[in-house]
Amino acid sequence: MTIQNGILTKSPNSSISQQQAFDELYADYWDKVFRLCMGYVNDDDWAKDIAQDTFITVWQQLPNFRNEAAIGTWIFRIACNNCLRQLERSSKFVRKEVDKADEGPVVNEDEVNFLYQCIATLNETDRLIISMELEDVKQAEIAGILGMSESNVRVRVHRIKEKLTEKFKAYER
Amino acid sequence: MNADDKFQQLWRSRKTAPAPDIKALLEKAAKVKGAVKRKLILSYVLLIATIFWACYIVAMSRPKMITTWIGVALAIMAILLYLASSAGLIKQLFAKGQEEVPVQEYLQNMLQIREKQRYLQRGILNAYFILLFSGLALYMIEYTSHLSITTTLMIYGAVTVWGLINWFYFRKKAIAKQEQSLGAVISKLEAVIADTKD
Repeated sequence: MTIQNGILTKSPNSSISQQQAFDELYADYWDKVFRLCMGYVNDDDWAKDIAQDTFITVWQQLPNFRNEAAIGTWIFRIACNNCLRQLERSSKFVRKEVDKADEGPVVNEDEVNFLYQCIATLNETDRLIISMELEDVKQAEIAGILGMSESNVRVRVHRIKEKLTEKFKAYER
Repeated sequence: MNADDKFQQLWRSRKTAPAPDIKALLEKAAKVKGAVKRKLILSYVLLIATIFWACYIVAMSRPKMITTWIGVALAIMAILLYLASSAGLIKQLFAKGQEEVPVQEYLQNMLQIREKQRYLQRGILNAYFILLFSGLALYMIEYTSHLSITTTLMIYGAVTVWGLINWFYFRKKAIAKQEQSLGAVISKLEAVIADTKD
């Protein structure tokens, strides 16, 4: 197994090459997946747990990967599903962050944290959409991952960015 | 710098947690699997132990009436039913490869599992109580048959009151508790599914 331009090609010596392909994916995608999870839960430990679960699935399912989508899209899809699985654990935790950000501009927090807090105020789908958009995932791929139309994703990205811009204007004032 | 670039720059400057060592990650994968297996094995050990215990009690007391045997069988069935339904759900919950499907399909799967769980738990809980109490009532016939009518009535009265308290208080409480957590998850899932539809 080797990865070239997001395409996984399989070789006969599978177990060693699977390990190599996984090592490569793990190095390339850990930060991206972690940030996506942070965008969803806005909690370091929790995001790390979801990211780990994502890569465990990647490892387990890599031999069955059929190249029907680019490998990055496949990983993001697993990550999104793992994020949404958190709905079953507790929705209170995420809401707590939401309430905090809704109270108005946060003092003594840098802009990075403020951005992540603003994202935490969005609903589940919007959190995933904007996280992937900021991660440079193409809107067509986001639409494919979430099972939405591309035009819907485009409209929602626009609305989310408008909301974020307004919040940042208020924060900077 | 425009807002888009700024957001992207801020997004990427978030410190990420260091990626865990690959070996540790893969060990975790094996551990999770092991934990689920252990939980299942433990439930089955407990189940078998309970059945053996019930059989031992019956063997020691050597009941003569068929009602006693039926009573014990019903109580064992109640326990079996309860554990079998939970084991089936655990298996379904940890089915392989579910995370790979498109998000909408994944959410629908989760919703289906939870709705099935709600239906199963309610049905199983009712069946569990009915089987357990009818089993107990049948089991007691032999041991109360040589007592006076008043004592028999008193014993059955006490068991009936206990049964009613269980049915109307503990069962209702269990359903309400389950409804609170499961109902919240179901409505949340429904909301997200609706949100992903165009």
